[in-house]
Amino acid sequence: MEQTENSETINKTNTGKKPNPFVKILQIILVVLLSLFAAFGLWIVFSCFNKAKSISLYPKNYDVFVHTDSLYETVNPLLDLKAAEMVLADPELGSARQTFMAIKSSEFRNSKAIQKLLSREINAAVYGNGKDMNFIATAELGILSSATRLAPLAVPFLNVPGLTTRKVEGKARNAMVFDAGEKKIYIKCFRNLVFATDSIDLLKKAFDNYAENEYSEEDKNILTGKEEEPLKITLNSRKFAQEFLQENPMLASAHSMLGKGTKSVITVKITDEKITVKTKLPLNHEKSDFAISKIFEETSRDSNIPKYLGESTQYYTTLNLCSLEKIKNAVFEELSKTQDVYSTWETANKACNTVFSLSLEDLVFSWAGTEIGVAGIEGSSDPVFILQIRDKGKFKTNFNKFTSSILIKNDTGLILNNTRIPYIGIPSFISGILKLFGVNLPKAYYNIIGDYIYFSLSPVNLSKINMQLKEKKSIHENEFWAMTNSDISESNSVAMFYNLKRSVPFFITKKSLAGKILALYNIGRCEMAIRDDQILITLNAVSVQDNETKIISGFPVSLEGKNDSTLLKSSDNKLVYWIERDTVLCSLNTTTLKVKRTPFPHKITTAICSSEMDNKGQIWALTEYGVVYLFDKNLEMISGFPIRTNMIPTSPCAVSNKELTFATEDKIIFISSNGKEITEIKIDDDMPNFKTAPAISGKSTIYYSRGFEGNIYTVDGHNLKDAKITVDGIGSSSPCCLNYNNTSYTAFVNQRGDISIFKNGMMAPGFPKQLDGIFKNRIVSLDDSFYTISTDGYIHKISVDGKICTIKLPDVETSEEGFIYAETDSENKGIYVCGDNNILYGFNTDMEVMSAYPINGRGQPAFIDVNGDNKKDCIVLSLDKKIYGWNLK
Amino acid sequence: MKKITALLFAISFAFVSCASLQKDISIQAEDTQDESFFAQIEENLAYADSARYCGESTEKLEKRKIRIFKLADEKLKTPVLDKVAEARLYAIKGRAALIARDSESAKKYFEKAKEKSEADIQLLVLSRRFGMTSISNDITDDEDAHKILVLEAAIENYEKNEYSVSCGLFDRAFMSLSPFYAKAYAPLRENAWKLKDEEIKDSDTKALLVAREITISQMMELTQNSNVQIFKYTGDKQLSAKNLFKTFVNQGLLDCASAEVDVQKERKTIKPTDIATRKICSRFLWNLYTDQNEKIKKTKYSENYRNRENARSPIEDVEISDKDFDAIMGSVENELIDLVDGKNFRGDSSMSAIDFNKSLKKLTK
Repeated sequence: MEQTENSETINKTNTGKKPNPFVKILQIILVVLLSLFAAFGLWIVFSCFNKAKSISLYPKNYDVFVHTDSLYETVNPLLDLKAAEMVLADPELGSARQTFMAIKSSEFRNSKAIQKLLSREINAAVYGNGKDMNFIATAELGILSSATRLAPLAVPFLNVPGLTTRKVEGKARNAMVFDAGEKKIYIKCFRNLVFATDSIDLLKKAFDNYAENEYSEEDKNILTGKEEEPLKITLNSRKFAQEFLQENPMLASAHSMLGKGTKSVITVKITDEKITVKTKLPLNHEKSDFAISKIFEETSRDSNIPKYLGESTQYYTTLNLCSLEKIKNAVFEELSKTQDVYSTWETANKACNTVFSLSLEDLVFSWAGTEIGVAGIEGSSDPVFILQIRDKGKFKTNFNKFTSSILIKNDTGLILNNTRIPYIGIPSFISGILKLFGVNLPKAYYNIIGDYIYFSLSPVNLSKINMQLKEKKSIHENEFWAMTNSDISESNSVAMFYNLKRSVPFFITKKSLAGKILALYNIGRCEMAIRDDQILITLNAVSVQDNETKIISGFPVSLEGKNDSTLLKSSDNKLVYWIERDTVLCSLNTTTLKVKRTPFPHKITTAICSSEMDNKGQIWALTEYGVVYLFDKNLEMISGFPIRTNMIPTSPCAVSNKELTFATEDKIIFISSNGKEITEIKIDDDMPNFKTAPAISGKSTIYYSRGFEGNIYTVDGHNLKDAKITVDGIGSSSPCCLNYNNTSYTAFVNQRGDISIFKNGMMAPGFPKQLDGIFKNRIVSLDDSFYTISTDGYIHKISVDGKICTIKLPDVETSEEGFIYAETDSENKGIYVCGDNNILYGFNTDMEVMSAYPINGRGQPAFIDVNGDNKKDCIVLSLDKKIYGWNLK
Repeated sequence: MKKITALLFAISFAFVSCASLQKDISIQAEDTQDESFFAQIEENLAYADSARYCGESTEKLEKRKIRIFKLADEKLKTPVLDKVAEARLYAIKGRAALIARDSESAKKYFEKAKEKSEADIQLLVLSRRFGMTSISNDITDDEDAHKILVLEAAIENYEKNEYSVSCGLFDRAFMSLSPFYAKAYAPLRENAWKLKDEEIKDSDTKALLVAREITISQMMELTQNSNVQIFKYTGDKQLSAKNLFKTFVNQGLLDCASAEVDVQKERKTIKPTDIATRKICSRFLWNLYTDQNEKIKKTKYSENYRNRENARSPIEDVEISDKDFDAIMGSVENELIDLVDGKNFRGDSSMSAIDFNKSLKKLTK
């Protein structure tokens, strides 16, 4: 019994302990996985805490240090910049433009994951200059560093072309090396950072001297502290200014006014709408060699001149540095190094004493305040000069003494808009002094408002300011001024407001690329203030552009001769093609803006694009002697071509079912895309007269034999239909086909305007109809309608149900050589028309002019996204031997 | 880095004078200074300028100049006038003087205008007319270029016989300028349009090509100067106008194809100074065409139609019995000459040189 119980127990135990091998394996896998997860988790935790401070990898002798908290925030807005398009418009930078446009138009750009991935702190520094210039760059990867930390182990197995590893002496120990042609880039994954440099010495230096506390907190704050603008640049401005200004004799010593060894900080924010640049330049406390630095000793005060300018002010520059006398002394000291300014002053002073019994100092400085300014007024080219009156009593006494002199012409007779505007002739000794300051004022009207005296050659300007201030329409009402108001303080020493339509500040010259880019930001304010021993400069510029269709940067592209007014495009929407001087087939790559020309020995009658074929063929060309060419999209000849048909074409060609077709005197020809099959269809009628390109409808090719009793022949595949359609009246163009609601329609219009529409080969009810005018242009189709243009510029829309709508092409007298084209792509769907001119109009299917039109150009346009904004632009040839790219609005 | 330098410059220059920091742009006088007045005077100027290019007599041009001077002088008397407006008026006077071929006065006004404002747009045009400057591609490529400069570039290209470019620039300028510019320069632009596909070798060819009608002799000269194969008639010799006429007539190029006539008698009635009507042009072209394509019978149309019962000519104003029926039908069907309205040929009207030249080009296709 006991034995039985024991055996049962044993059996039970055995049954309970019997391991299921599947479960056991699962358990092992689970344990392994958990261990791996734990290890991975630990690795991530380790990666998060085992951090290095990137700044400590930078040797201190950098020339420029660049910092951004978020690469994405800095770079992403740059992709939309017109300025970037402008820079990359140079065909030399074609491949860079291609990459840029691909990134710009990429959907990934706005992906949250990419945004997160690229929201990384990036630092970079430049050492040395010219050929000896090297860089260091670091990226802070955070949690992602858990992957990069393993990179050195993975590199030997990755087999990336040009990427190797090497040993490095010192603490760096090893680095990955990427061979980038002329340069080698050393990359090292260091804790949470990825470090890159193009100098092995900098690599060694960076890691040998790595020490957490090498930079003080203040330095760290300067270099990487948070700012409103995403990009921060720190540099040794004195060194930089010295190198830059050394060739300018007058400004050669200007660098000495900047603090020695101190760093200047520039923060930058650039978007397509606005550019903000803030600069801090520490001033030198010691004596400077630059005499003019003396006027930078005073802390900035509120500048009130703008408050005394009217809303029609187009630009101004104001100074509020120190007294006029101090400015004069400082400038004279500097000018005296190159010219004898003191004797000019002395002569003037003597003359002034003789004539007015006043010294020049008394005449000008005794009453003048610290504020001076010059402003431009809308509608006038004569600037207005403004001086602050500090001491009204002295001003009255001295000015009266001056104006009452018999030698001074003083006329107070002019009254403009109820304001008396006196006139004063400036004596030559004073105008001579003014010329030293670059001011040409031989005579002037003047007016006094509040504590300011205004001078101008134009009394109208003074009257305008007076009136506007009376009506409380000061510059604050000027919309452009208000646009640039943010971050601009009223307390400043120099202030500038510009509107490029009216004035050009000295730092903008449209000849240079930088000037062109700055000119995009056409309204701006620049302010310079002195505070806390620093010069603070703020530039705020906004781009005010009309919402109009504009030419894309890089266009127009010049052509080498006359063109055929027809642009074809590749099936990948990247290239356009046209014929130049009848014998050259050209292509323009719209991503690189490079033009390729393929000359032919004879005239090309037609070039035509088809969808890409198995042998990559895409562009067909037919010459006047019947030689057929087939090219790939890059204009490389497809093998098996050219084909000499030994037949003279009488009509342009077309592509039907991936075959080229054209007509000769009495035959219709088809050439297969492999070039091996040539099909000839003989037309037995008496002398057919094929002059126009055939119309294609599905598998049917439709030819028109021109004549007063013309015939329409239909070829299905390679079979000529027995029943030809005879059409009355001579026509200038081929028939046109459309398929609507599974019904095939063919339309033909003769010169005198009889339009016939055939429905499935039979005349449609209500047709033929009579259109007003003479018709020599082709007929095109879109949706359920046909469109054509008469020689007097009327566009007719003829629906298959018989409705006719007619509108006049604006500004067009004749359209003998007009052009009509139907675009089926939904984004730009419409009818595009030119008369006998170089103006292209676009109409929607309701025959309304599209808002982006008219534009400059002629012929068949192509719609391609050229600037990467994911909207198709209009590329069009032009009579002025150019190809234009229009960003449609 | 460059921006920082620019700003450093700003500070440095600020010491010298705030006036040096910004440079005025010569703004449009008409924007602000009595728009209608400037529109009126510039309209007069545009018509005068166009008239000069179209060969108007000096007397008439002088009258136009006087009218412009009167307008300008009245305005110049205004006591308060902006110097840009003054510069514009002197430049306009300079241009008017140059149009009337008075270059001495033109120079005088040019200097006066320059004194007032060097950047005035009419002054720039005047300096181009004096040959001092040329409108570069950079300017015309700039979308924001002043449209008067674009117009001037169109005229410059017209002078250089670059008609296609000229036409493109005319149209671009007209898109933005006041409509009177398009009206005033319409004859010039029309010529440019006609000549845009032609290669002009000399001024005589240009003068001939813009002619609204041509004589038979000119028709033959145009043929000799074209790429049409006339070897079989001339033996590849360049013939004088007289010999060319004699040769072509004797070779039967002006014989009618569709009627039995006394050929010698008919030939004697044709004079080289006769206007080459559309009918004569079609006769000449059809004879050249059928000589080139021997398969085509000169009388193919008349034979076809005359054999039909109740035959009606497909061209309303040309009877089947017309002695040029074949020539006209053949010319139209082969795209050598178009019907004027899709129905009628208008055989007695003249043919312009440019249209005839186009027909010759089609003949060589």
